[in-house]
Amino acid sequence: MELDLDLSLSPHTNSSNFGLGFDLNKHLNTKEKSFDAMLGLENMEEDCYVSKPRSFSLNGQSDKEDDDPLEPDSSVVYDEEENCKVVGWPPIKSCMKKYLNYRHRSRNHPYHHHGRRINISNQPATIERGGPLTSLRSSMYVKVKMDGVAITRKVDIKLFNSYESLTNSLITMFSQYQDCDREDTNFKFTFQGKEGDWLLPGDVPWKIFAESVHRISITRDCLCPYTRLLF
Amino acid sequence: MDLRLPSKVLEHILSFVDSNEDRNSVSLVCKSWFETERRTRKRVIVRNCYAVTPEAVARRFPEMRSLTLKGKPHFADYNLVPDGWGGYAWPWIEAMAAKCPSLEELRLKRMVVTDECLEKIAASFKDFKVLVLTSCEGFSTDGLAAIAVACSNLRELELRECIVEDLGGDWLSYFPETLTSLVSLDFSCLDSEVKLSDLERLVSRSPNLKSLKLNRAVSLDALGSLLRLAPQLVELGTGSFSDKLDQEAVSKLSQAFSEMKELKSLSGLWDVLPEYIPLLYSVCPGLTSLNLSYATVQMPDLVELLTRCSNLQKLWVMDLIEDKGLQVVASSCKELRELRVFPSGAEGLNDTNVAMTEQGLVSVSEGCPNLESVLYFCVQFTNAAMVTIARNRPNLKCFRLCVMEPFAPDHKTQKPLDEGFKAIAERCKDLQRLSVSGLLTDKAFEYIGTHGKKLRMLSIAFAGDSDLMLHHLLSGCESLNKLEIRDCPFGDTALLENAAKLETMRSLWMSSCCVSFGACKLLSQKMPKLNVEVIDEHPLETRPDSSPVERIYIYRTLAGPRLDMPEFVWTIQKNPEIGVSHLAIK
Repeated sequence: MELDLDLSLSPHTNSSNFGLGFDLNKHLNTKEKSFDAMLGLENMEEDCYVSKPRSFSLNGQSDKEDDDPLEPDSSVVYDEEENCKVVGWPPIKSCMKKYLNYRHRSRNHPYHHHGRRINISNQPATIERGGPLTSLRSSMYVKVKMDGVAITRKVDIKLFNSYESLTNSLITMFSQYQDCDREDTNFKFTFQGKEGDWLLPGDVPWKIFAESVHRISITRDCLCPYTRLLF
Repeated sequence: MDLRLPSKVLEHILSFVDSNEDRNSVSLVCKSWFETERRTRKRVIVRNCYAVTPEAVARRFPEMRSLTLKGKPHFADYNLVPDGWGGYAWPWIEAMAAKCPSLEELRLKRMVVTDECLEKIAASFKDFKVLVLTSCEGFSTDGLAAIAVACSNLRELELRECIVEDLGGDWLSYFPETLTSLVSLDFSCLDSEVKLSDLERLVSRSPNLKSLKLNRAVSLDALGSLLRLAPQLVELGTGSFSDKLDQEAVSKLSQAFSEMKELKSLSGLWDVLPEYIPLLYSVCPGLTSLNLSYATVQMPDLVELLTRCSNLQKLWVMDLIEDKGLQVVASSCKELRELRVFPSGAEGLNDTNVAMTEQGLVSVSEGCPNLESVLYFCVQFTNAAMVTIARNRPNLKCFRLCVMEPFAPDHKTQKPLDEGFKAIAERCKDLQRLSVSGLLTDKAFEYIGTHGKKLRMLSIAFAGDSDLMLHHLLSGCESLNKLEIRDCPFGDTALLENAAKLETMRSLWMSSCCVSFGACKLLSQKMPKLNVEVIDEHPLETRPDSSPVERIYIYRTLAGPRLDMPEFVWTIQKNPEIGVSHLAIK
C-alpha cells in the first residue's frame, strides 16, 4: 500500500513528534478563536478537549530500528509549573479530576490539617461551610451572552482581577461579531449570581463577585449604519 | 394442520421470558413469534442511539415501559470526543412522547439532555417513574425542577456524574407535598446547596426511600437529622464529611448511624476527617459496597474501617490505601468481587508519596477468591505480578490496568508487559473486558487475539508497533464488541483487511492513530451498513488521501447516516463531493 503519512506516531520511525497524543503540538498552537468561531463551539471548560497551552517539549525518539526499544531515548520534559498533560490521560472522569485538583490545592492551604488526628476542641473556626473552596479552584468559567449574538461564549473569571479588566476583555472578545464600531457602542453588563439575581458591575466587591457569578449578559445599543439612517 | 400456538398462549409464555437476549432469540424464530414478542416487550435497551432510529424502536415496541439508551462513545468520559459531536436525547424523547406515552422509565448514558427534554418528559409521560442520567450533560437545575413538579408518581431520580448547569438549589423545593413515592434520589454531582428543611420534609414523607445520595454541600450536621428521618436506607451517599461538630452532634450522628440496620452501600464521604471514621464502624459489617473515591484519609484510618467490612463485595478506594492497606483488604474482605483503585495525585497524575505498587493487587488476588473485576491505577507494573494475578484469579471477568506512565516497561526487568497480559488473556478464560497499558509490542496483541475468545470490550492506549496489532485483535477476538484505541501506531491495512469484522461489532474508536483519510473513504464505500465517522478539527476538503485523520468512530447501524452531525464530523454520505478514495491497496 502506498501511503505517504505526514504524521508518524510509532516510537520506532522517523519522527520528531513523539506520539504522546496527536494533539500536543497542534493543540499548543491551535487554540484559536477563529476555529471556535468557525464551528460555533463554545470555549471549553477546564478539563476539556482543547486544553490551555502548556509548554511541553520532547526529544525526538531515535530512528534506528535496531535500537533497544526499552532504552528510553526520548525523555519527557515537564513544565516547571505543572506536570505535563496529555488530553484524556490518565483516563479519569472529569468529576474526579475536578476533585483531585481541588484536593491537591487545598493540601497546600494553610488551614488544611494534612489528615492528622486533631483534638476537636482545639479546632480553629472552619473557613467556609456548605460549599467548595471556590477561591482555590484553578479556573471558573461562566457563560457570556451578548444580545444579538447567537454564540454564547465562556470566560474564566479567575483570569481577571477587576470589573474593568473583565468588561474590556469581553468587549474585545465579542468585537468580531459586531458590525458596529466599538467606540459608538454603549455596552451594558449584568451579572447573575448564585441566587439567581441580576447585578450591575460594582454592586458587590470584585472578590465576592468572582466567587459567586454564574452568568454574564451584555446588551448593547449602538448607532449602526441602519439605525443612523432613521434619525 | 396448523401447529401454531394461539398468540394468547404464546403471550402468556413470553411473559416469563425476561432477558432481552432471550427475547431477541425468540423474535428470530418466525414472524408470528416476532410479532407477539415485540408487542409484549416492556424493557428496551439500545446501546448505541445511532444504531437505529427512535421511530423504528417506538414502532416496534408499542408497549414499551422502560427505555435505556447510550449515546457517546466511552472515550467521551476522558474528553476525547469534542463537544457538539452528538448523542442528543431529544429525538428519542419526542418519538416516545408521540408513540409510547405509557413510558415510565428512562435511563440515559452519555447523552446530551436539555431542559427542553426534561420538560417534555414531565409533560408527556403521565405515569413517569424513573429517570436515571449517567454522564449526561446539557441541562440545568431548572430542568430538574420541571421533573420534580410534574411527575407525581416519581420513584427514582438519579444524576450520576452528570455535568449540570447549576442555577441553585431551589429545584428540590419543587417536589410537591403530595409526592410520597420516592425510592431513590441521587443529586451527588450538583454543587449548590439545597434547602435543608425541604430535603428533610421530602425524606420524611417518603417511607419507601431506600437510596439517598447527597451532594457535597450537605453538611455533616444536616446528615445527622436526615439519617434520623430515614434509618431504613439501603444506600447512602453522604455529603461533606469534614465539618467540625461539637461532641453532642458527633454522638447524635453516631447514634443515627447505629440505627441504620439495612445499610448496604455507602459513598460520598468527601474529605472525611480521620476522627470521624469511627462513626462508620457500626455500619461496616453490613456493607456490601463502599465507595471511598473521595475519602482522602490515609492508610491507617482506611485499614481501621476496612478490617470491619467483612461482607464487602465492592470497594472503590484511592491509592492512599497503599500496599499495606490492600493486604488488609485481602485478609478481611473475603467476599470481595470488585476492586477499583484510583490515583490521588493532582489531575490523576502520580503522587510520589504514595506507597502503592503492583504488590497491592497481587495480595488482593491471593486473598479474595471471588475477585472478578479490577480497575487499578498504578505508576508501574511487572509481568511477574500479572502472571501471579492470573494464576490466582482465573475467574477474572474484567481486568483494567492503567499504568499511568505511558510506555512504562516492567520496572524490574525493563521488558515490555507482553508476558503479563498474555498470562491474563490465557488464564482468565471468561475475561470479557480488558484495558491494557504500559509498554506493549505487537506480541501482546497476538496473545490477546489468540486467547481472548470471550473478550467483548478492549481499551488500548499508547501501545503496539504496527498494523499487526490491530490485525491480531480483529481477526482473533471472536466475541469482540467494542474496541477503543488511542495513540497507537497502526494504519490502514489491518483496518481494511478486517472490514467485515466491523459489522459484527457495536463500535470501533480510534484516535491519534495512523489511519488515512483515503482508507476512511474506502471503508465507507465498501461497508454501507457501517457509519464511518471522521472526527477532525481541520477541514477535510483539501486533505490528501494519505493524510492521517484525528479520530474515527465506526459503528454498525440500521439507521443510515445521522442527520445531526456537526461540522467537524465527516461521513461519506454527508460530503460525497470529497469523492472516492484514490488509494491503491496492494
